[in-house]
Order: sequence, then C-alpha cells, then structure tokens
Amino acid sequence: MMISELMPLYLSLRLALTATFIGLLIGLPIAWFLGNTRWKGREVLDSLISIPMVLPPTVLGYYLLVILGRNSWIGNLAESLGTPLVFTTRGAIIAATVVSIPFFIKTARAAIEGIPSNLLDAARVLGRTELNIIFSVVIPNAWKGIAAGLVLMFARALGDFGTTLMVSGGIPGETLTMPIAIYNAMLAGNQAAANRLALIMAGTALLVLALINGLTRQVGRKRKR
Amino acid sequence: MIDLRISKALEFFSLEVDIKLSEGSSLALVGPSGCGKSMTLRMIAGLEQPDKGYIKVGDTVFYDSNERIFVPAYKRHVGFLFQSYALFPHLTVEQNIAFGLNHGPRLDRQGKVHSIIERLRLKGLERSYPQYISGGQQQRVALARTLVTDPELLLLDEPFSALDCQVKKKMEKEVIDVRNAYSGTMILVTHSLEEAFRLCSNIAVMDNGNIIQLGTQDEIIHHPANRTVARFTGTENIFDGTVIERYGETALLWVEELHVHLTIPNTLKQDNLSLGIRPAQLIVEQDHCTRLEDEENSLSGRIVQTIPTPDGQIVFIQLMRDDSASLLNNTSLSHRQRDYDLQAYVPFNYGKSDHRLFQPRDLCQVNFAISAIALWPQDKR
Repeated sequence: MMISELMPLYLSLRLALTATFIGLLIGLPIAWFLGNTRWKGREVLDSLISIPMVLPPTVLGYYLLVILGRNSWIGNLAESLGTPLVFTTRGAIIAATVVSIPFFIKTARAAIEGIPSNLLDAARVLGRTELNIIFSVVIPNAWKGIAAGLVLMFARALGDFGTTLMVSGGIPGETLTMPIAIYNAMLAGNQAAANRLALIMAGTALLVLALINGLTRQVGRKRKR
Repeated sequence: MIDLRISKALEFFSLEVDIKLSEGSSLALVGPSGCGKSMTLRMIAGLEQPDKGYIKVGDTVFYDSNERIFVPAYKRHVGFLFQSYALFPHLTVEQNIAFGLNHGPRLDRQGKVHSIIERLRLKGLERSYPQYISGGQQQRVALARTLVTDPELLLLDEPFSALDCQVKKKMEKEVIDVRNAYSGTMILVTHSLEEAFRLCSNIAVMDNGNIIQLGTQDEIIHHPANRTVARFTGTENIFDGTVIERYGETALLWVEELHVHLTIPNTLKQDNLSLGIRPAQLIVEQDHCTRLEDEENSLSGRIVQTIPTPDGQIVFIQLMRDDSASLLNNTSLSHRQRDYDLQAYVPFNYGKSDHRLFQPRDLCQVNFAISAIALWPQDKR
C-alpha cells in the first residue's frame, strides 16, 4: 500500500471529525430549541434543516458552490479575508457539515423530546433553574441519543462524495477524500487500489460503530447494578 | 394560609378558581377528568402561568397579575408529587431524594436524606435505580424527595392512580401518617371521592373549570349545593318537588315524578326544591315487617333488580303508585328512561338469624328519616 493512499483516509477522518464537532456546537442548541419550544414555526425550521437530506448531493453541492463562490457576497468576504472557501479544505468541511448535520439534529431532537416533561417539572419544583436542568436532567437522560446522532453524522460526513466534489473538487492532500479517491482509482482502471480503499472505508465505519455500541452497552450494564 | 383567585383561558372552557385555605389544613380538588383540577395545581406550583389573578401562600405572593409578579417554580419551594412519580432514571434512589437539597452544608443534607430514608422504609434501596424498584417503593421515593425539602405547601397530583388497589391502600396510609406528622398545608387532586375523603378534611368539587362547592366532608356529602355535586358524590336518588305546606320544623313536598308526598326539613324558603337521598340512607325492609309508624317517610314498593356487593346488595325499587297500574304503565314509564324509582344500599345484617337477601319482585317497605334528605333549590331550566 502506498503512503499516498493513506492521505485520503487521514483527510476524510479529519474532515468528518471537524464537521461532527461543528455540528455538535451548532446542532445541539438547535435540537434543544426545537425539542422545547412551543413556537409555531418550529416545524418549518425543522423542514428547512432537513432539506440536505432530500436534495441530491450534487444539487446541494451546486447551491453551496453558488453561495460560497466568488460571485456571492459570502465568498467575496471570505476571499478578501484571505480565506477562500471553494476548492479548499475549509469548503470541504462546510460541505460535509451541511450534508450531515440534519442527521444529528433530528436524532438529538428526538432524544431531547423523549425526556418526559414531568421530569423537567419535577426538577423545577425541586428548585433547579432551566440552565441547571439542561445539565442535571436533559443531558444525562438524552446523551445516548445525542451520541447516536453524532455517530450518524460522522458516518454521513465520512462518506460524502457528491457535495464535497462539487464544492471543493478533488485536490490531492487538500480535498481528495476517500470516496473521491475510490472514484478516481476506478476511473483510472486501478481496481486493486479501489478495492483497498473501499475495504479501509468499510473497516473504519464498522470500527466506529462497534466502539460506540460497546460504550453505550457498558454504561447500560453499570446502571443495572 | 393560602389565598388564590386565578383565571386562565383553556381550550374548551375558561378556568376560574377561588380558594381560601387556612394553614395546616388539607383540601382535595375532585372532579371528572379534564375539569381543570390538575391545571389549578400546576398554576399553584408555578409550572403554568395564569392569565389573571393572584396566588398568595403565607406572606409570600407567588403571582399577581396587577403587580406583574410571577415567581418561577424553582423559587416557590413547594412540594409536588406527580402522578407517575417523575423519578430521575439516571440517578439512584439516594441521589433522587437529595436532588432538591441544593443549599446548606453537605453533612446536614446527608443527615436529612438518611433520616427520611429510614422514615419511609427505603433502607437498602439507596443505590438502586428507580426503574428497578416496585411501584410502591417508587412512590415512597417520590414522597421522600418532596418531603426532604420541608415544603410549606404539599401538592399531590393524582398520586395513587398508577398503583394497584392493595399498594394504594398502603400508600394512602403512608400519606396520612406523613400528613399527621407534617404541619404544612396539603392540596390533593383526584378523581376519586373516596380518596379525597380518606386524605382530606376539606373537599372542593370542580366542574368545567369552576369550583362548584367547597366545604367540609359532611357538607359535601350531606348538603350538596346542586345536582352536579349531589350526583358526583353518590347521591343516586334525586327528585324535583314543590312545597305545598309548611309547618314549623318540617314541610310537605309533592314529588310529581313519584306521585308521593314527602316530609322534608323546612330549611329553604324556595317552593321549587330538589331533594337527594343517598342509597345507604334508605332503610329497606321486607313487606311483611311491621310498618314503622314513627318514620315520617314510608313508601311501599317492589324490587326490580339487585346487584350484589361484598358487604351487602344494591337494590332498585319501583314504588307503588296511588293511581292504577295501567296508568303507570302507559304514561309514566313511557317517558321515563329508567324502570326504577329508588336505588338503595342494603348492608348485610351479619350475625342476625333472619337475614335474607332481596330478590327481584319482592315487595318491600322503604323508610327514611327527615334528616337523611338533602335539599337544594331547583336548577333553573
């Protein structure tokens, strides 16, 4: 196996991890808000957030390219700050985040909504403030769902092909992620390389799942005692 | 001392509640489901905000719409027992109980938790998680979690409805014991009149968002304010009548529906009255028994149906009309929806040799004392 084949793996993992971290920071407050508000527009907001799940990745990539590209004010601003977005690692991270964040928000919202409202009421009458309740009741009871959402998001970000390709191309060492590398290998007729890369991807995905599974099961067992 | 007058527009009706309660007393809010009793409790606890009014507990104002005061739930220091216990599944029994103790030295808090664990017989369960203990134990943990914070006001929202009958009786005793030891005020929400009776000295009957009667146990049972309260509290025999004569202590009432004259207490000045008699207050005897001459109200009838109960039987009685039987069959029965006039509860005479169960078609004599009659002005139609 060539060193150059490990580069896309490293890049993919880095992109997916960064995207997941950004997703946690942005997505958790949104999920919390959606799970708790009685605001009438919440389902509209939820639908807007879900758009990336239903749009074809290339279409999503195309729109992201339009929004982040040189001809938009966002792209212009980024350019003038010396941090162009399209065809860079930054662009790839944005693409991976947008594609995968709905998976996290949906799962986390369901987990937060799954907490019986009388638990929150009980905490309130026992003298806890809303902020305190988030840490003392909501997160301890919903963290499994939140973690599951993060895993889903990570897996989706790791496997993204179309959107990343549209927004950031496949620049080796910068935006050439595993799925794109596999595609390139196939296109070049190098089936052996494609095979190896695909195996690595599949192995990584299974490993991540097994890790999270083991973690949640261990916690569950500890609680029974 | 609790003083509240609150209103809130709900989906199907508007809630208007006015309660004054002296310190240390206990009140049960009873009524059919969806009458607004739980909402009232939640507003007292600060979990819901009323539209208008005020809530005062002791010297503290919890809510006042005129002065724009709304004390949030976490500052009210009110004890609340939830219907489904609402124990935290991620915390042990001990951690659950300690959840409401956020202030004071650590040793102090530990001492309080341990003493309440002893008192409510939860020793040995401290490290268990709530989902692995029984329903009765869960309810005791919930009670301990509330009582350990020493609330001035204890609110119970249908706390026993999820328990089975035997555990329920035990839990009720537990709460009564706690109540006797506890000096604060208690408000219980329940749809069960029996439960209200066992736990609280004052009862408020609610319907469609309003308290239709608030009084002592005796007032609610024996002096219902209107037909709704009477029905709700188990006064099965309710009739409308007209006063035709008054003599000092008593009066004579003509009950068209039964074709009888009844002697009633002369306490209300209205002529159109409704009267109610509880099934247990009717004394039903076999027809061959000698007629009690000293009873003012004595009626002859025939048993149409009996229902057995563990300690007696419920009998349904059709009265003998003065007029002919054909008239009764043709007119009276056709526009009446039921085939009986009176419902009576006949307890077994344990230990008496001449004891015999009533059978359908038996002739009988129904007597009741004047004091057994509850009266209220007829509802305006």
